Amino acid sequence: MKSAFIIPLALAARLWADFSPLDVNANGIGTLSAPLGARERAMGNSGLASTPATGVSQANPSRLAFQDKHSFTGTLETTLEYLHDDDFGNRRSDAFLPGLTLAFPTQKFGALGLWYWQTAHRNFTLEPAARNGVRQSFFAEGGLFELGAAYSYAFNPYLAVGVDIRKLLGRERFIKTADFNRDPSDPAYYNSRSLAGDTLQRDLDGLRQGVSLTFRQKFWNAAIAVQTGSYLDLDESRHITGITTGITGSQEIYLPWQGTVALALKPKNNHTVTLDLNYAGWDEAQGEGLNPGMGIGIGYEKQGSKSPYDAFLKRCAWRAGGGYESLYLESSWQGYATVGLGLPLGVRGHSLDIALLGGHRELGGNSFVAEEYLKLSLTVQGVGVWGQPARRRK
Amino acid sequence: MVNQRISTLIGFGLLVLGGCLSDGPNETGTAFLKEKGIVLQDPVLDLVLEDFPLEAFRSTLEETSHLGDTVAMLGHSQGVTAGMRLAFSLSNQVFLDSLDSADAGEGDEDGALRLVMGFPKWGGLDGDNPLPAQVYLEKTVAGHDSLQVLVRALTLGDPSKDQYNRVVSHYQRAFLDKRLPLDLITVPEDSSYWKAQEKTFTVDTITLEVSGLYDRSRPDSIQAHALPHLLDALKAKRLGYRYILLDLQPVAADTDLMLRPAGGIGAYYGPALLFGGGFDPARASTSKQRLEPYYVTATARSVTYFLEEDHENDDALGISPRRNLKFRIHRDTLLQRISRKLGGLPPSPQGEFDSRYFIPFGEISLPLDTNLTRIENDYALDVAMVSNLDSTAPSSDPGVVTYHDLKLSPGPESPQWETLWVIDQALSLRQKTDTLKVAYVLPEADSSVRILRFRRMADTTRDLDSLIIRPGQSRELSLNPGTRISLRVKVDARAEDYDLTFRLRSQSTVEAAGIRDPETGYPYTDNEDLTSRFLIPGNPWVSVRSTEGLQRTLNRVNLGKDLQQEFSLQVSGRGGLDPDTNFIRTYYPIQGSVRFPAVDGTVRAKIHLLLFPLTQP
Repeated sequence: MKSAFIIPLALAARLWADFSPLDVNANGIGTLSAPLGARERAMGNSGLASTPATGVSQANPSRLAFQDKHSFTGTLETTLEYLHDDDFGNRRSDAFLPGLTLAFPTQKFGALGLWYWQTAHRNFTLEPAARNGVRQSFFAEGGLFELGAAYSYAFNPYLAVGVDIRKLLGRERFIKTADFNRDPSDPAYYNSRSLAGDTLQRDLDGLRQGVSLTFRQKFWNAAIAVQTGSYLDLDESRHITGITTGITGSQEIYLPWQGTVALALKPKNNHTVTLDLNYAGWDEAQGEGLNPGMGIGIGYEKQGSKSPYDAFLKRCAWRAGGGYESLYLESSWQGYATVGLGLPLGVRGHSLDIALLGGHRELGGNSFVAEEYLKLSLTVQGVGVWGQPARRRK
Repeated sequence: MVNQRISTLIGFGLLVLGGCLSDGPNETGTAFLKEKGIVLQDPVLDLVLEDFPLEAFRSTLEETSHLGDTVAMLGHSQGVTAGMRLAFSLSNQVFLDSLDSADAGEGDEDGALRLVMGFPKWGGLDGDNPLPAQVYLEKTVAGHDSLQVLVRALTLGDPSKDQYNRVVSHYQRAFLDKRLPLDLITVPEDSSYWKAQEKTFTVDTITLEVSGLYDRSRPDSIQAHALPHLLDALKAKRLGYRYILLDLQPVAADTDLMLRPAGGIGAYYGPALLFGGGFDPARASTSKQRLEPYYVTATARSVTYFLEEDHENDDALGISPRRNLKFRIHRDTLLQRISRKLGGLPPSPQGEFDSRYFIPFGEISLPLDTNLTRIENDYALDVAMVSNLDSTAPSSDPGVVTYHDLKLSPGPESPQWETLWVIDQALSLRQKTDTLKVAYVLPEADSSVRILRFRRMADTTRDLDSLIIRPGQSRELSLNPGTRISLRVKVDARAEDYDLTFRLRSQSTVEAAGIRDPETGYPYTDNEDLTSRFLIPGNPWVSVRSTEGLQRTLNRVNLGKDLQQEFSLQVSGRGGLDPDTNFIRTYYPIQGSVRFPAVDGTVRAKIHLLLFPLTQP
């Protein structure tokens, strides 16, 4: 169990470059990170209505009310990408720790969930070969981080309601550098001062709320979750090597509402089929080149046996899925297929979920950029029942 | 156990997979960035702007301290008078007792009290051959037999040790640091104790032997000359603690002779007072016969020299005395000239910062008037540019160049204090707001000079600094009122006697002047490799790196409105660079005056710029 934590943390410490047109575009908030653990990732980024899941779902906090165990989850993602455009291709990889959650269900008074989640990230590097003795580069880095708290309550075994509030904090930097002094044959260039950074920094701060409902039936579940649109305070400042520019500005940017409608079918015991539809109301008003983002995800899960006496493989959960998303940046989309596995860790219900996602992301239009990527997600879950007497051995 | 192994294996696999991937320079996404206006293949624009007019072209005297300098100057040459100042602290009765051992009369060179001075041959030898710098030093005294020097002395006596250190500290600052004339040194107004001090003025004349002074065939000259009047003053009262200030000045101001005596060095060559007669100055005991100038700091003795010009050279770059050349570059003119070269400029962005271009390299080349430039022995000079312009906006930071005009009439010794500046809290290390006051004093003792006295509101008991100035002179002064940033106040009294212009500036930037070796990439350290930045007599131009100053000139929109910018060309060090010895710097200070040709009253420079387009925010 200990090694399962240490290795993801060691990986998270290494941050490699990532590419997406969304990372570079100053409008918007970067590349979105779906608020899903490895279980939902493996089911084609769907499964928000599926109730056997353990832990807090930031996308649908209401289903927390159907859980009876305290839990902790930690998720790690690493992505391997082959990026290409009209002229060039390149391989890259990145890894980050998008989220940690804590769930505190009670017997009678509903459930409380807390989480940290990185909802968007920018991590882009472009370092073209030096031309005319000048080496330039461009970096986009940072992200939008969410601290959330949710309360959910099950009125009866069939209906749960969740409300949540999310504090959003972000810092993004767009850095352009130029190293001029590489040509010894030209004294002026060679003794010039490099532009170590023409940096535009954006600090974001705001709040948003959400509400969610989950209907639970014997053979199907349904869920709907909506997060309100909200204004984020945006402070911009610009720094240039050796010069205080004094360029600062404050404004508000609108983070549009987004919603999910999810359906989970349970045709047989331990078998679940899921369908999720997502929508985010981006449009031109929030920035040039933006349009509504929407997606569909379909997934399947065969749950593992709960009996500790069964064989290990029989106790594992098996998952698969796929999906398509029209991204919020104009002319950009992605499609993907997923497979995954849920590994039990001991008899108490701890688990390690693994999802492997293979996808294609593309920005069409005048400048074609595309990437094939392979995303591996790991979610570690620890569960416990706090505040109740320990079972005594006889 | 099985589960743990699986988890470990998966994690290890990820680690290996991630580590195997190679990252590096790439081009993917370039087209998209260009489409978004983040252009990555901007050309660097290389421009040379010829005949660029420089504004407010002038020079000002800088108050350079020579306290403790190894080599001093004494004499008069090239319209500059050099005087020396020495301070001695006498607290050992043994020295005074030795005065009784001999009684020297005026003119008796072996008197009981003598001033000893040493004249080493600073040029040095290369084996048995003299270096060119030493040959030149020989020439400076050729045709001269002697130099008469007036020795004014002020002795302060204190019967007890009470407050003696305070007295010494006050006079040391006024006499050595600020170089006030002896009779203009005032005592603090708040203490009757100071006014009760016993003070004695005396004047002696000594004659230094100059003939063959630096002759390579003779040993270094050490001369001792009697000071009979000072002797009498010391013998008149045997007070326990005495502070002796000596002010040495050449008698005739029309000679053309500049000596380089030893300055703040002890033993043998260094200046000293010899108590008692009949012994060799070089063998005198420092515990009872040879009184050396005391240490002001751990390394600096209380010996200094000061230089005064006969006439203002307000359009010349100077070395000994240091004259800094000042000029401004009009921002609008710069933009127009760049626009003309490029065939237009991008539209100017809003706000106080012009973010169109970054300047990685800027160099200003000034034309030299080779006929009027006079530098001793045609030594080369290492010059540096100081850009006196902060980059910050006035609304966000007070570290800007601002002017303050104040009309002051010279007042009596007890002056009216005028508010000169409110020192903003951001300038203060202690985060306090303070006020700088100034008074313009016409001293009763000498109506030919004026004294500017500066005080802080927070400490009204003593002067923060003072400056002696003659009407028509232009001087610079560095103030450090306990602030993190040195304040510099320029006094310009040329237009009217009472019309003073003060400039407050902060965060001056000395432009980087290093030159890298193309072979190694490291900066050159030998002078012979740095000649492209030297001012060499006979060359028609001197080129000085001015990257940051030009950068700010371009980037600061308010230049000439809320802000003022200024370039200051300065000579680095006080020695010259000898072209005949691969530009080795001379030990001794040299004199020089560099002039620049003006066409229709305007000096025109050549500006070399590299411009790199910046992305608009």
